[in-house]
Amino acid sequence: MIDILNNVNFAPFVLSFKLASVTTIVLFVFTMPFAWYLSQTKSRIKPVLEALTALPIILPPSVLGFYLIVLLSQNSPLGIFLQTYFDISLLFSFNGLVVASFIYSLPFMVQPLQAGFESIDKNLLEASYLCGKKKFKTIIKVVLPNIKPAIVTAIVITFAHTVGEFGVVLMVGGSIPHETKVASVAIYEMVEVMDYQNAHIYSAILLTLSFLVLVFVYIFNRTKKRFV
Amino acid sequence: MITVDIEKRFNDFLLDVSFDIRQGEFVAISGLSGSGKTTLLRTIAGLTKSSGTIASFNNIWQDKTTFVPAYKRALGFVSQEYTLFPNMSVIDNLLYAKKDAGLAKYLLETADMFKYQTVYPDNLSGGQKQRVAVCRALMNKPKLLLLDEPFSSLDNKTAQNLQYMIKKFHKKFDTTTLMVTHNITEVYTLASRNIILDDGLIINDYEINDVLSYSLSKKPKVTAKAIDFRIIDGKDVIVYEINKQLVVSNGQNIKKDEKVNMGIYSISPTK
Repeated sequence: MIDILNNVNFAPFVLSFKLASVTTIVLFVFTMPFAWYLSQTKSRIKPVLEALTALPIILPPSVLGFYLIVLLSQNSPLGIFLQTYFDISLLFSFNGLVVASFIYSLPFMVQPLQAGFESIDKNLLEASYLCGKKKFKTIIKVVLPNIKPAIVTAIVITFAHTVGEFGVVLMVGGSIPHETKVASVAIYEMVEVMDYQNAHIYSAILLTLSFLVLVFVYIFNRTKKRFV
Repeated sequence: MITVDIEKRFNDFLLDVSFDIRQGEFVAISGLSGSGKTTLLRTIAGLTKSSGTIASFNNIWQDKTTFVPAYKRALGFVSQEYTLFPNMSVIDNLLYAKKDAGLAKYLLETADMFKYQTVYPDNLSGGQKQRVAVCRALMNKPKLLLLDEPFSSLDNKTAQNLQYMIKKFHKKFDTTTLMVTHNITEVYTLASRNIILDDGLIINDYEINDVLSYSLSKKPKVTAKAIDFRIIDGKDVIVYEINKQLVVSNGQNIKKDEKVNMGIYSISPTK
């Protein structure tokens, strides 16, 4: 068993975890204000924004991948802009994978955070303002500590979802070793060349990891509900 | 001096009130549900916007060109909801309002809550939560304290204990206080003045100590002299003298010549 594991190339896993980590951090930082806005706004465009956010859940990855290729290609306005002013080409690069994962995993970060923000009693926010605290301090000191289960759910599910994504990363990133060849793409290639032993090992690792992540989320949320 | 002169419209409802409160006064705002009591309090606190003017001790909080947000008004507010922060212990709830450990200790000791200082709100009873909420509201030593039916979800005994505590704090800090209630017992127990709202308008404004010509309904048909308040069969009632007869009422639908069975209620004879 140890011999088998010694022969496994873990580079795709390292890349998958790196991609998932970067995507999760970027999503958490940049979408929190958006999730807060969605939770508080009564604007008429709210349903439109919510639908756009949820699109990646129901959209086939190939459709999302196709539009990302169109958007990021070197002939598109964005591609030309990035190439001209920053000398960056996003297609078939790690950075491109981060952009694709950002969009693909967007609902998995935004929706739990929005639900968490919406669950906060408005009286608590007002009580904080009446204690002389501004909105930013209220969010940091009152809101975030009281939605820990939602935050943990958002982070863990986003991370796990990004580790498991396949279609979009294959279309946007291809399969360049150490650059865009993540674990799910590696499994696909192993099956294609009938390397079932390594495909089993890779798949078992991802399966176990995904299961443990979900168990952790459920245990954490159960504990928090009981004691907070 | 607090000056309030505001108008606030909700669809067909118009809150249109104007009054002054003197330094140290304890004013009750009473009236039926939907008369605009809580809206008035929220407007003064800066939680709801309205047109008109609100000034507190020479500071303009609101006029045509100014609106001071709630977090800058430095007032104390206790609502009928339990609003302690669940992620903070009792002492941290107080220190969140102001980092003054000495004052926090004094307030909690006075409220008989110091032994619970490390306890989290989820492990407190409703009465204990409201005690801490009152302490937290006083942490900034506010010039104005607003109480929005703070006893409404408490049982009679717990409410009386909290009333005693609020009275004690009012005496100690001389904080100008505005309390919304529709419980006449609370009005008479705590306040020195009662403003009665009905359908968004002030229909009566009187000093409790002067006792009292008391308007009994929207369009009063009877002017009675309220001479006592009691809890009878778990209900708050006022005892009135009408045509030299004693009558009791909840203060809303009193009928002329309504008589009291003296044997049952043991009410003292009229003077």
